Amino acid sequence: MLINTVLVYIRELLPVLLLLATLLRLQHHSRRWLWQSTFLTAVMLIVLPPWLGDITQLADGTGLEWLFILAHLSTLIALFILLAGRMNSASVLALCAQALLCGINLLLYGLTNIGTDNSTESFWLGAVLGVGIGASIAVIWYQLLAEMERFNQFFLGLMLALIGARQGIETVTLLGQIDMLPSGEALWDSSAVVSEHTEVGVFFQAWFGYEATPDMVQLSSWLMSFILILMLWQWRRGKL
Amino acid sequence: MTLLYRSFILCCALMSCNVFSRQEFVLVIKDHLFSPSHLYVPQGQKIKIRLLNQDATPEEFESFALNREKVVLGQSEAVLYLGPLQAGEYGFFGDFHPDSAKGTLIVLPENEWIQRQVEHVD
Repeated sequence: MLINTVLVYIRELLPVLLLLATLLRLQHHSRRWLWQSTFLTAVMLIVLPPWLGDITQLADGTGLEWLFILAHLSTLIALFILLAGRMNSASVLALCAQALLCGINLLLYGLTNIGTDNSTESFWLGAVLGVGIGASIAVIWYQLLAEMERFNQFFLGLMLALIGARQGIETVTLLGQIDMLPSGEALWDSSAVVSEHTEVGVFFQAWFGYEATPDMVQLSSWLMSFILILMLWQWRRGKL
Repeated sequence: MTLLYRSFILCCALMSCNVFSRQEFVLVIKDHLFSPSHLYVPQGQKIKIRLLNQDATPEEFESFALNREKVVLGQSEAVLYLGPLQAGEYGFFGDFHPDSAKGTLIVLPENEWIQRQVEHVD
């Protein structure tokens, strides 16, 4: 119970925290977007829970997937807008969308454990540990980005492209799950090298949307998002 | 514009046919266990799995092999679309209770699937 809670918290928090660290490196001159995102996310997470049951039952039980698709697409679009120059509003949109995804999943997980016999204490302990580990990784990530930025600004663009590629692959995976896109055969199986069960697999998944058995649609969407963001980054720096 | 509209309607119709032509299977979640724990389905066909969560708390159906992750609220149901799948075994588990909620989706080749159907009718 304790270990599972820690793992769930790390898995859900990492995408938001890695995005936050990257955005903080990109915009270290202003922090207004951070307070705006925090406020908006808090409002959404207060307003949304009573409607969660109704949302999940929408469109033959695929409502939650549609909401998640919207969040991933919003993040991807926000990254494009960010690179086009509207940094403040884009950062708010990206962070709110990712925080919403994380918040809903953690809320649902919390519903399974809080109040049940013998598990409430383990749940809170696991949650605190998960938040602590996630925050530590984010701090290290922030410092790593700062160090890499000293050598070459391109690394920051690369990190942004990887975060964007994750949104692309997550969107098509969810569209496949609700039968809006065909699910093809896996192109390869790299689970023997890095399994999605492992800590490294969880980290890779949260970072760049690692998929051990991707199909052609997933790979294409990943590559398209990745290349587009990288091109925009180079264009922004006047190198394209 | 008319062409665009007609294309949209055609796409919607095709997608609807796609959804409705699927064979449906039921997977029940009760006491944080999947029932049946071994679900048999045919190879090479698109299928629909109806997840019925009879517990009071939510559960998340998760399968790395199938690339699926689906939350089902307590006392509620959800639908999962899969396939066409290659013959073989695909593990799945309940992400919120991974120690107890475990199962395997067994995809049978066509002849074995027909044989299994016949045996069950007998």
